[in-house]
Amino acid sequence: MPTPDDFGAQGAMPTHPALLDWLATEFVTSGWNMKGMHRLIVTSATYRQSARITPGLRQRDPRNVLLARMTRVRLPAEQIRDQALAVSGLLVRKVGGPPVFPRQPEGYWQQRALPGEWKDSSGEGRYRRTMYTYWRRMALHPSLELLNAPARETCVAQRDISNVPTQALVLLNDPIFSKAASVLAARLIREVDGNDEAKLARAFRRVLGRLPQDAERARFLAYVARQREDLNTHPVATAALAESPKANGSVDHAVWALTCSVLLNLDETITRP
Amino acid sequence: MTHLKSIAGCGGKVSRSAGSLPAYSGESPEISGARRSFLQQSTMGFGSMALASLLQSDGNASDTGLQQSHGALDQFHVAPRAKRVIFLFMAGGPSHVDLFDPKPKLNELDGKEIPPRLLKDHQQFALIRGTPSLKGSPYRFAPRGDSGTVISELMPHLATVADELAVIRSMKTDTNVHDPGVNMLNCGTQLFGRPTLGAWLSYGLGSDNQDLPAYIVLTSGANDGQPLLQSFWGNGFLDSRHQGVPFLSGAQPVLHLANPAGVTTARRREQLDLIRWMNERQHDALGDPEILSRVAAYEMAFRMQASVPELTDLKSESKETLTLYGADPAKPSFANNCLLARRLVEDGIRFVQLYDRGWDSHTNIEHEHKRQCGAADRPIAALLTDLKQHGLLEDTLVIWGGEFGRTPVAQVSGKTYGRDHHPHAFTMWLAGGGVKRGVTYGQTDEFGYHVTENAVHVRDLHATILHLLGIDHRRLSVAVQGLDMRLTGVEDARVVRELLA
Repeated sequence: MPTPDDFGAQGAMPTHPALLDWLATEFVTSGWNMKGMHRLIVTSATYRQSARITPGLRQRDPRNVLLARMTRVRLPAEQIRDQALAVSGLLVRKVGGPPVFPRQPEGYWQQRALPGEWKDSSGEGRYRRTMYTYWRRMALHPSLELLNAPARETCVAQRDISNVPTQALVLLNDPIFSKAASVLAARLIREVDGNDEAKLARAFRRVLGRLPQDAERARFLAYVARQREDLNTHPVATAALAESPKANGSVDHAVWALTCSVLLNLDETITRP
Repeated sequence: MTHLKSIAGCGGKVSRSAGSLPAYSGESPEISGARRSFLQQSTMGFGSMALASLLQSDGNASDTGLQQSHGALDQFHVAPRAKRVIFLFMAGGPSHVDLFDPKPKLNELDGKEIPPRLLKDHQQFALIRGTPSLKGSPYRFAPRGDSGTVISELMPHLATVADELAVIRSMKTDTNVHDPGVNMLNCGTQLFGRPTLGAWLSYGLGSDNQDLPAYIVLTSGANDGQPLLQSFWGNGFLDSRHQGVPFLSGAQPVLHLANPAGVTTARRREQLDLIRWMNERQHDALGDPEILSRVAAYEMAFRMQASVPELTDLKSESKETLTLYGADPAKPSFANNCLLARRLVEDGIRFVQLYDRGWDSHTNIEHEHKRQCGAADRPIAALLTDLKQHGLLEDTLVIWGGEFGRTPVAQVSGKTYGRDHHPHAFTMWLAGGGVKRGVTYGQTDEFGYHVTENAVHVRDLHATILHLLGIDHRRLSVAVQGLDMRLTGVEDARVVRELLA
């Protein structure tokens, strides 16, 4: 059903009406068991298909209406940020409470001529789940806006997802994402005793949920070696890349912070499945 | 350079004759074939290679200008008169009978019930119920400039550049609903999911500036206006690198341009090379064209880090210029956006679209239209003046208008009144590249209700715009699931030659 926000005259017809009927019946006979339905759907053969688009499939069903493959979906804004916080270990899992004010570019709020001011949260308010962010229609947190979070002027059942350069700048340069990369780097250094290879494996596991393939391992280790060499010969202020007192300012930490930032920016990282 | 040459002709799938039947393909054409091999062939990374300068230094490029710009078209269909577009979109629908189309008869019969004949063959109003009364305009109209182009007192600054305008009083569209109406004016259809004019031009003509997106969107205006949807600058079935890139309004239109401390440009470049290497692997594995768009977006982001700061620094403009526009760089405004638009087209951006919200005056139009015109009139006049002073107006097409006009009848609301949506007749204007100066085209009836002469449907406007940019609207098409899709659709559309200089 390609128009989940419009079941009316202008909505599209369901693509699999018989399946829809069957699912509806299942839902009723299960005693309206919502979790059960989720499990039924996500463990189905259809849901667990590969997202690979073969040339043949692309020819015959470019929009995947007939579900011969998994549809790839870029994560929503909130999940992209939450994921970065979670893999680095920054995420505060507290539930409930008043909204928080994660850092945004200075003056952004005032520029919009809004009363009051956006006072960046301190402490745990910086790292709560993104859903707790203060939501002002007239001045949505800009990183969320850039990643297609709706202003909530109207109810949105399906978000428009864009793919534009201003989003790359958020993931590369917004301090929350560089912080996450830095904290993840400190964690690798702290928690993984082994060599670069072991650290890389852990970083892949945390961010992508899988181990690097051979070619990836070789390419990343070459990158790590090259950055280390470069940072050793041209030391820069690595303090900004550092978060943990222990790792503070070390070349090793800077090397891994750069590497983790790469991982947080991959298409694979921000796209489901 | 040979492989770069070959990509320039990557419009292989654009159907060049109306009769040809392109192969069935559901995806946007540039995803396959040429573009992919281009990405694969430029193994050194087109960021590090500074592709832009490489392309620009290609002295052998043909004088059509299209060879350098990566568009799908490898030649113009007709001689282009404009190279780029600024579309001033007055979102919500400005009132033609209060701005450009004076109706003495309407004033004379103010308060009388609408004559039933006007309502024949006519869907119901958007919001008005029952039988409304005619409502004259309280504003004084006068002929302006040497051309005598008529503009109301709500736009005194525009009146000073009246001789630049080609006013079309006979616009028609198909719907009186906002979003489908915006889609009509952007995409030629009420449906969602189609490419907008800007996306079509980015696709067909490519970009003259490889360091910035070809299609940039600037927004302003009343926050209580109709919401703006991403689809208003969407790419539809074209590759997503053709979608409009919204800049934020205010002192920092693009955020997070600076690298984190410690990340030098060289280090960032190496990060991006690795990101790109991984993403291309992912593309090889999954075949999803969105991944290549992401690669392109990351490369563009890198180039924007260098190109944007200077470009968007309005403080570098002279005090006279800032005053001309009424722009204050520190505060978001339509005026800032107009000034930024000039800077963008100066830098070769193909399509700049300004959305100004707040024109949907249902309840207190006298207050609201005064507010809107107060914020928009001076900057628009300044933009035309400034473009002219920079020698840009001759090849920049400026388009002004909204998704429809407003009813010549009142929508009463307590002690005040507004006007409802009116798709049967409304005014838009064009100025600049290839457009006749100081003309007024088309006529409406004595109430401004229906078009009586020289109707210009939105499709005709699109055909005319494309023509001015060197494109035959029948020949810019993309094969999508068995259909040759184009901006003007399958119904007749005419180039309004009377508007061409």
